[in-house]
Amino acid sequence: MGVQHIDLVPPLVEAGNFNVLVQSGHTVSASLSPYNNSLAVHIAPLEGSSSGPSDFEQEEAIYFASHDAIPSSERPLFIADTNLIFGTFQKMLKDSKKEPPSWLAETIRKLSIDYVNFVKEIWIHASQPLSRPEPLQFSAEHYRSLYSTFSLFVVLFAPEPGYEDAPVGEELMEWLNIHFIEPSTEEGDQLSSLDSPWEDGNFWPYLTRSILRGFSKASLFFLNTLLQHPSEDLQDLVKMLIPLVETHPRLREFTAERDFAYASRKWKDKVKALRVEMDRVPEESRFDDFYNWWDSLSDLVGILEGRGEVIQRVCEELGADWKEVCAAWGIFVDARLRRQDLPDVVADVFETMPPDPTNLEDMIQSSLFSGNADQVLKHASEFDIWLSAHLADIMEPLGLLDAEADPESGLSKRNEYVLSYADHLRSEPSFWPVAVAYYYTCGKIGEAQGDEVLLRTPLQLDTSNSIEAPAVAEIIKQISEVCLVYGRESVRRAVCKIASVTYARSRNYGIAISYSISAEDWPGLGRIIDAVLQEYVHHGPVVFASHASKIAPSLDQIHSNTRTETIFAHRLVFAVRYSQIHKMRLEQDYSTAASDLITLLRDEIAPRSWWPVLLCDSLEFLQYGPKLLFSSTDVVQLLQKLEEIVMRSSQGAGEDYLSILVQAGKGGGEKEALEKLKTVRLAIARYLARCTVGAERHFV
Amino acid sequence: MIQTGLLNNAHRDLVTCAAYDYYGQRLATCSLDQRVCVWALDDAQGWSLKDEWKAHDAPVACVAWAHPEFGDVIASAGFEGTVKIWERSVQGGGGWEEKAALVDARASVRQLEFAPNPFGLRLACVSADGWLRVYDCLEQNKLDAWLLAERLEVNPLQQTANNEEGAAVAIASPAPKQNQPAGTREADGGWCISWCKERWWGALLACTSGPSGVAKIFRLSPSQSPQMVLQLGPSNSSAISSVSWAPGCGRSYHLVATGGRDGHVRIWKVTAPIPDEDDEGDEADAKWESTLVADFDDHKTAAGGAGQVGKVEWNVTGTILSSTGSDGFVRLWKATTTSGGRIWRAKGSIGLEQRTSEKDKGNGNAMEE
Repeated sequence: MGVQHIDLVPPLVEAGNFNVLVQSGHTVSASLSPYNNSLAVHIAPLEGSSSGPSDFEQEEAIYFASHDAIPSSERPLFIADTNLIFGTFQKMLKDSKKEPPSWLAETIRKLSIDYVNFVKEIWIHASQPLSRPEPLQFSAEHYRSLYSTFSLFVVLFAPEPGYEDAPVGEELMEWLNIHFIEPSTEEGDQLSSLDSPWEDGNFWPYLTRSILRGFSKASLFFLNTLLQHPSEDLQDLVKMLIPLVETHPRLREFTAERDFAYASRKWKDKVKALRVEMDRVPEESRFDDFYNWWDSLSDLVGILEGRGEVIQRVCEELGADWKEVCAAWGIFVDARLRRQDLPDVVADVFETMPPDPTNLEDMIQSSLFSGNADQVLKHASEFDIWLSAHLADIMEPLGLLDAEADPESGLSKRNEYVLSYADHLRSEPSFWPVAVAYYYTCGKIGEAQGDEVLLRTPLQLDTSNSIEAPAVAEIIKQISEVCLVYGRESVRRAVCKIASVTYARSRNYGIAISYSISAEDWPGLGRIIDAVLQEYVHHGPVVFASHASKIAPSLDQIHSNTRTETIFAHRLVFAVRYSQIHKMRLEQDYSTAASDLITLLRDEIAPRSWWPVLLCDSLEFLQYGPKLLFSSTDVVQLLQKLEEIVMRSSQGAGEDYLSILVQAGKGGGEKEALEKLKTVRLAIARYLARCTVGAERHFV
Repeated sequence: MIQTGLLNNAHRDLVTCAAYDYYGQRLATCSLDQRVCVWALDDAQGWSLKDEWKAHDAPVACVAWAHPEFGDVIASAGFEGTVKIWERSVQGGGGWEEKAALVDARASVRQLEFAPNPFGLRLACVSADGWLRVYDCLEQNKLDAWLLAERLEVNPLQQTANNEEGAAVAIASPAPKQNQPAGTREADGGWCISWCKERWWGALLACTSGPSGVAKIFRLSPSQSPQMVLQLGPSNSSAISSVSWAPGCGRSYHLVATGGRDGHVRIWKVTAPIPDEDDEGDEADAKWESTLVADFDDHKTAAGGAGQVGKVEWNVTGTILSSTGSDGFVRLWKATTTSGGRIWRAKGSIGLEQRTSEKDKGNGNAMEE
């Protein structure tokens, strides 16, 4: 697509005057967006000029530009629908290993025809004179070119299985007649309305082209009019010619090629007989009042005789190009022309009738005729990057392209073109599922690039606390599905990890933990549990209990996930069970709460730094009047923990034991924390006294 | 190629740096006006200002985003020599909170970049005093404690060179520190860094400092001091103003682009040593190799032979390189499809000059607007 240039608006200086800006210490700077193929462009201070504030205040703008053509109008549908065919094709290629070779050839043909049909549809759609909300991105003419080119590719390289080695002339002529219609119907209508059409300047060219294109009906109609021509010689010759045109053996009428070859030979002998008759017409009788009819008729007979030089000259005179010569070659000169012989014929034709280098369609099609896959793709990528990618994708399994990766780039030709197309799709961010479908067919490099695209798909998570976040955000669901299809587990985990952090930051701990477990991000899980526990420290038991209740369901998830690292599971269990104690406390279920608290301490589910907090919580239960909530062994347990804390703190390990209580104390230090624990010791002493007196029975 | 948007009045003075977040949905900009702005993209409504604040007491040289797995974190570098860490607050309607100020640099901090996420929350910055500093965040949950994990002088020998240049001129630094090394006049130098985007080869970064025309590649490791494994470029060329390490994306080699004061954009192919079980440390380092695979002087020639390159940057798949220069153009470079990645060519250019009919004619076929 060549080197492109745009100038952004509003312009900053007149054309060629950027140096004025440079002299005043300005330059241009840009950043590439990870979101799509765009850049942010702005004026920046020139390195080396003063980097202090500018002398005067100025308003600075930032420009945004896409360095690719963003698919619009008809194009997105075209991209999405052809992606479906591409997807099916990839699947079929995988399956083909289990199938016979002919199955692959058949599949390739079938899906290539699907592409052709789809391109045809979009061409028809683009040709309709509709009023459109936005103009077509590519013209109808562009899609016509795609249609004719892809059709030609099918004719030449994806023939019906079993017919690979059959003569190709008929198919080529049929392709030419569908895509490059000549002579026009209007000309025919105009001529047929005349009483003596041969008097018209268009008559012989029209008739010649009809013969060349194999339109026997039109040819016969106008040959019949010549039976009224004043020249008897001509009438006699035409009488001989008409049955020849009528009986021209065509491949499709035969079941065996041998029969066709035999019939062709016999027919050519009859044409030779006509030539002998023609030569007998004396020179002076070869004119009518207008033309030298004999020369024109001689050209017709020359074509039927299969004289290559006549066909080439006639085509030049008619304004036809190399395509017409090549197609006619396969009908008249060498009716048994094979696909593999075509490049030689084409090379000869090109010597006198080269393709038009300014016309990309002509260049692609001429390269297809020449069987030069590299050139086909080179021109196709300049014409439409869609075409080069999809042709390359089919060419590789057909053996037209070297499937080996280039040692430098690590990419095969096919992958180079498919990746270029995938890169182009990134210009529209919503196409990410389509883009990755192409990336992930391109080996290790494609996988790495696809990963990058997938990872950077915006998650746009709703982290507002007002509504309950869905269990799995829609976009993450989509990404996970894509990861599953293409086996990109590391990407899925990375995305879940980011989601986990995002939700944790917005204090949606339940869903955050669920994502971190899904990501198997154990350190991350640890950080979230810490954050939940910090809720207790900063906001007290009520807020803590409400947050912790949301993480309770993840306990089941963790138990079912055998790979969970024990340490993190342990901390999660503590957070959940500790929050449950507070919940029960708030619901005044003191006896269960008290017994659970003992369990947390006794089984050391609670980390050491939390023991003092739990001991302080036990105060309420120790001082509970109506009943004794702890057994004497429970109380001994409390006392033991208390002793350990006090002793270890005096040995300098206060940080390990007291940090949480210190934080929760807001402002106090270890000394204050130890003071607080003294009140627990006192309560324990009183509680033991109550037990000893025996006035009250232990509730349990 | 097509213009897709315009943000008027983004800042009150020149924008020094614009950085996209990981998803490209937000853009942080900083300016000589000492402020940082964060813009957000809405697919329907385009870009709009989300937050704006005075970040430094001096012009802001650079902003960078941390990987989203560390939350919403931005680092900004000021010409007063401070690096600040900002976190978007989730409570109370957003806004960015200053979490830490790193004040080790003795001159203006010119560029900073967060390391790839596998290395944790780690930030590298290079300052006009010629030092590269690498900080590690100690607690991801808090962001307030940063450890200066590595510091190294990028070009240690230069201190004594060019003494005749006189005292260092740190133009933007409000009070130039006395111990700034001589010879690193900011007007002549270039200070830039770029991390290797993948972790397979360890923590690697490319860095340049001062007037040297060499970009150095350092390998950082927890167990030993940083090792220089490779130098890119002839030391006699003019300063490198920008360096960018391409995302590897499955390639068997690295691509590092440099942009120079000499107006050249260069692409280097860097090959890592193949790990050998018997090799340890230095021996393996000796095998890092570089080849110059592309050298474009378009920015120079388009500006009448005097153009400089301002910035080079790769896209996220490492397939397109952008460069900007004092010729007033943003230029894009891409390897040609038919060359197996060997030949790099211009893909397009963007200008800010008034369009002329002549220019239209010249580029008529290529324009798609």
